[in-house]
Amino acid sequence: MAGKSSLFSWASFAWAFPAVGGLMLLAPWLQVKANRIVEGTSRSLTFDDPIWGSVLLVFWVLPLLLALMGVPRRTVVRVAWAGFVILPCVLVWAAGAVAAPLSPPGSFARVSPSWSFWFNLLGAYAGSVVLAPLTGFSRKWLSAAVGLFPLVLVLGLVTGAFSGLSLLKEYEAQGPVFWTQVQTHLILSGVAVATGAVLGTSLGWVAYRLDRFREPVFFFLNLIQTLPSLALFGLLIVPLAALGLGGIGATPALVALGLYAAFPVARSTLTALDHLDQAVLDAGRGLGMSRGQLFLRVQVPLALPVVLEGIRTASVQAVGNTVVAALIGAGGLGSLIFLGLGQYAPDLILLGTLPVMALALGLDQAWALVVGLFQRRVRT
Amino acid sequence: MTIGFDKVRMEYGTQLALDDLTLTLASRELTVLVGPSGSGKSTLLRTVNHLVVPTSGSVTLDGQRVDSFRPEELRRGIGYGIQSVGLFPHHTVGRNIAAVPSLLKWSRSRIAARVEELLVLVGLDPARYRDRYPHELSGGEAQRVGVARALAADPPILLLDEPFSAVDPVTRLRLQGEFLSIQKTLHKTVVFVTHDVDEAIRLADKIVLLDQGRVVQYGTPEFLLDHPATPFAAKFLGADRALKRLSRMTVAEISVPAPQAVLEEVGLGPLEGVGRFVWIVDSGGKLLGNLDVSLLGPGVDPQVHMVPAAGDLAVSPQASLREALSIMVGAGVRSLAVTDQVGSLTGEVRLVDIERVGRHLSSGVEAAP
Repeated sequence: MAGKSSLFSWASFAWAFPAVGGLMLLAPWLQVKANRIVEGTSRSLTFDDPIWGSVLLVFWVLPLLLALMGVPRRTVVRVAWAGFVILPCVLVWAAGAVAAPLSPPGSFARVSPSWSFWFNLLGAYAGSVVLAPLTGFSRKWLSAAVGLFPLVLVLGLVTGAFSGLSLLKEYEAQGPVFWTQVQTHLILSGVAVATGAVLGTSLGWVAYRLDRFREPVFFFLNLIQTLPSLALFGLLIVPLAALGLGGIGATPALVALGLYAAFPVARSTLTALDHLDQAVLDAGRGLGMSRGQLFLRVQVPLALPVVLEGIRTASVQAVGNTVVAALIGAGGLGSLIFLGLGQYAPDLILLGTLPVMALALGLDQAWALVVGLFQRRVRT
Repeated sequence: MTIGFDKVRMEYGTQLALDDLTLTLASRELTVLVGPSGSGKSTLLRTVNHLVVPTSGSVTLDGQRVDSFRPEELRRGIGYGIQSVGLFPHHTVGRNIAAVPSLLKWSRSRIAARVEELLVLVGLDPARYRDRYPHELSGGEAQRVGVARALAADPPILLLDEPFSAVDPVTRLRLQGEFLSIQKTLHKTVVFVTHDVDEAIRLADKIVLLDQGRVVQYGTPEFLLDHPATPFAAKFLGADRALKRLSRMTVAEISVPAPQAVLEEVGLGPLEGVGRFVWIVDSGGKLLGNLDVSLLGPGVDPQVHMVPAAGDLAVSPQASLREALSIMVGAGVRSLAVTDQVGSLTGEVRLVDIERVGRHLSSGVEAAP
């Protein structure tokens, strides 16, 4: 299977891994500061934490060694892929373990990930994504593997294994505020998506039924997409204040976020309806379905998967867009991020950013499941 | 149900699809609308169930104007099948067929029984096909389901718009044959649109030849083939009209008693009352071959000269004269044996008779069998 030629054909790829991985082990992976403000010192995996360093090195080097030993290519790819899936888990656990004695509870010392940490994380992520289709594992296995890292994160958070890390210190400092902001964030983006879904499907339907509204509807929605969200918030202050709804706070945020969310939904609704098989609609009418029956029994079920796909896009966008809403006092995880920016506290920024990323990714996956469920019923 | 069109005019902008068309389609007949594309045949069909609303003029069913009904009610009483079938992709075959019955709010058990009955009627095993989805069907199977769906509520009228055109020629021939036998038992008033002249001639009780929104000619396929009304009709029906005409007649109509001899008796004595060639059968009447009598002589074994097992020189009584003629031309013979299913000789069909029929046809006189 793995002859010499096949080794050379992907050798450059294989050699790059240990080279990059090894170099990264020399770079600082943790930053240790006596408190939040002072200049810190770096820790290297090679000199300060050689045990963890050698463990991590294995993940980068083992595939190459196996390849040189003539192990079949498929096996090497599988080992490498498994390594990249496990590496992030080991990495965060190592960081937590190293940080714990350096910053015990009550201490002001801050231990935060530095760039070798992020590089390892990113590298492993990229590697696992690239190699996944080459492993030949079933989709079920691959998606189960994706769940491993979040599982370890949750485990570490629950058991307190990460509490020495500065991110968790920041979390403790924020206290209940963090969860209030998560809640606000979820409510804001949830309501925005719901508004966008209703508005978007309606506008999409109108554009489908009435040709002369097609252009104006999408001109309007496109226009809103081109406006930076912050500008839109600003523009909404005056008219909303005039309506007595208040120019700042949750209301304008919801109006703006709802409008943003409407675009992908309207677009996908129109696409779905435009692409319905004309013969199917003709048959439905010819068999004696009323307009309502045709809508409910044929058009809705056939268009639904594509419409849901639009709502999925809208949800992921809304979670991100909601961050900006903090600037007009709507709250949400954005307020942590902007607070962190103001105080030059990278950990606080991360404390706001990481949950946003997790929410977006989680929502995306959840919607993918829902869409898949409907697609299976409608295959054409 | 009689379908009447009275000065039906349909304009799409400046385009004229139907030009004050007046026509009456007889009840319980299969009428084929045929014509080149753009002749208005599909438009005409779709005025019947009000999918197309004419600019002026009226369409009537047994004298009642179609626009006096609620469109949905009207359509539920008219079977509808189309070229691309248009099966609902998210419904099983069973639910597709049940579309109209469920709109009519039939009971579940009645619908289930009807679906079963229809699947059998169109030649699909209910147990195998009822729960399949359209994407799991072949083209021919989908067309069958389409026909079953059109027939579901037992409508007196059936509108079929090129229902068999999306399948391969072999499947199409089979579907046409099956549909003809279904029609023979159900006797619906069928309006069938096609651009395929052969399909029209094969299926039609009456043909309506359309061009540019006008009726060029209306009549039986035989009549149209014998007397094309205009040069356009003659051209559209084709230079091989005489052959097409022969395809409407069966061998049984002109077959004559065959000169025959039983193999065991050949050579025992002179063969009385036969020409130069004689069909040889066994004692049970089964066709064995044919024999050139002039080759016989004293002491000659007839089996040596017999052209054996003339399966390729035999046709069934149901075969068309066109097929018979084709076999004769191909084999270079002047007559064919006519045999039944078990291979017994029932008569012969002769080239001279086919020629006589053809001459009579082209001179416009109905041929006597």
